[in-house]
Amino acid sequence: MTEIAALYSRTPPVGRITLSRPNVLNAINGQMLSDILEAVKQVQKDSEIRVVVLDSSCESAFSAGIDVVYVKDLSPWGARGIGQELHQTFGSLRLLEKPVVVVVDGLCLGAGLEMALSGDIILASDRSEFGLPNIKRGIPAIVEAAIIPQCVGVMGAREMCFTGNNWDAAKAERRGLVTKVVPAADLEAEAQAWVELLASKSPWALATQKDIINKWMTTDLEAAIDFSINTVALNWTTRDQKEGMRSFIDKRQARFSGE
Amino acid sequence: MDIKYNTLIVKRHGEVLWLYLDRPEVFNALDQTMRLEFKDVLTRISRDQSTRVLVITGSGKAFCSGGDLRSMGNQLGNVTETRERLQDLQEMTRSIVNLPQPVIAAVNGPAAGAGCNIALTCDIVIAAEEAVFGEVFVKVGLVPDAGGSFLLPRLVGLRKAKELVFKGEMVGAREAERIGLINLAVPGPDLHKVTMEWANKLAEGPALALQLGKWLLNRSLNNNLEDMLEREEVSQVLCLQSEEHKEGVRAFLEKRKPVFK
Repeated sequence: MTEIAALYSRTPPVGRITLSRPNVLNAINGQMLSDILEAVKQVQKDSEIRVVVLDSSCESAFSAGIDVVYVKDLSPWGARGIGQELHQTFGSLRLLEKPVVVVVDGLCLGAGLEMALSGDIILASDRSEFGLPNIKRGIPAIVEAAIIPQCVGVMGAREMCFTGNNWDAAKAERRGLVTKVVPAADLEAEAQAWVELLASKSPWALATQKDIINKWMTTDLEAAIDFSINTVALNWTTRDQKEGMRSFIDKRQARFSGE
Repeated sequence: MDIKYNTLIVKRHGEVLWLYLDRPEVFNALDQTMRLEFKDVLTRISRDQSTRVLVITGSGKAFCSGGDLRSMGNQLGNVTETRERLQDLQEMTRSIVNLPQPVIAAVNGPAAGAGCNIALTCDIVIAAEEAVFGEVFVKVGLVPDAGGSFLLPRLVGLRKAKELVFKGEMVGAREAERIGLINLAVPGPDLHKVTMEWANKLAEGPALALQLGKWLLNRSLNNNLEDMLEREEVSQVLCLQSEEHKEGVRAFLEKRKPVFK
């Protein structure tokens, strides 16, 4: 399968990854996972890209989840491989040292929700729906669904996983699953505002902050604190730290060069 | 595996693939090209079902002398570039650890710094008697990388690991074998033959069980007994369902050698 399933377009400071299987509600297959992984690799090394936007070319969905046709006839061993493939791509988004803004308009289900949660900021239209229907397909929610309890608590996670029912956008925002919900007509402008805000920050500070937040999510308190103490030294080797602090004393806006 | 590399040579011997680190004029020092080519070839090998064992060795007199010093020190770029190079180096270690197939290091000569730790990351390490291993980082004001800080205390204990890292001196192959750093030291001329014997034996083994066994043992270094019991459970159930296991039992009952496909 050589048809591109996720398109990468570059307009500094934004790198945009657009899920592009609109006819199948952006069902996730191997091609899409490797397209996204490839785009992430490019973004990581591209110093002109400060923010990633992850969005969809499908009018009614961000992504409805894994492509059932792609996985239904796998052997147990093959299924394990799929889990590893999903985690490799979703993990690459979570670990990418630049902020990822996920723009959701419509269905965001299953592996599609896991992908969205691997980003940093989730902006959703008020008509979006979020859920983990895996249980309805005879399988559990896996890989980056592990982030869900950290968003909505263990009771919310149990509710989502065991019922497989969707949450509307209002519930998703109320319960802390997404960053912000806006009317569908305002979604693009909202995304643009976030991009401008994030692109104005020091890329170095954002990168180390994202590393530190990932540690907050994954290790115990002391280890996370220890990591942050050691990592912050890197920021003091950058011009951005000096500019950030000098601009405060000079009472002016900071202008970060990214060095 | 028809692709041609600038810094690596790939040779196939049936189901065993030999990968030569190939910059003999600089004792196979790692440069950016080699780091990237290494990750590329290992990614291809991980998807290549016709390769059941990987052997890593060095062209010429050395196994690998580690980071190329001529592109370090004052030649180094800014923090971003330095981090990128380090990340590419650490990816080499990950590639070996994550490779489904068993990896044998055939250490033909000196293995220093990152070159030493890349050898030690391999699953089986066989060395020529004249090979030497050195955590030489401290001699140029650096700390161990390529996974050395994790592996060394686990291979030789914390006490010996600190000695090796703080002194940065070379350890001969026989001593390395004695302290548990490597599996086996052999006379130089026998290295190729002995390595092929090991490799062929593993290539005839059950690929799934070997892959999961490698994964379990690697994971065990990060885990407790309970986690490992659970991982063993899942892995064993998969193996018990496999054709390899059925063939293994059949062969045993029929008093013959198993043929694992």
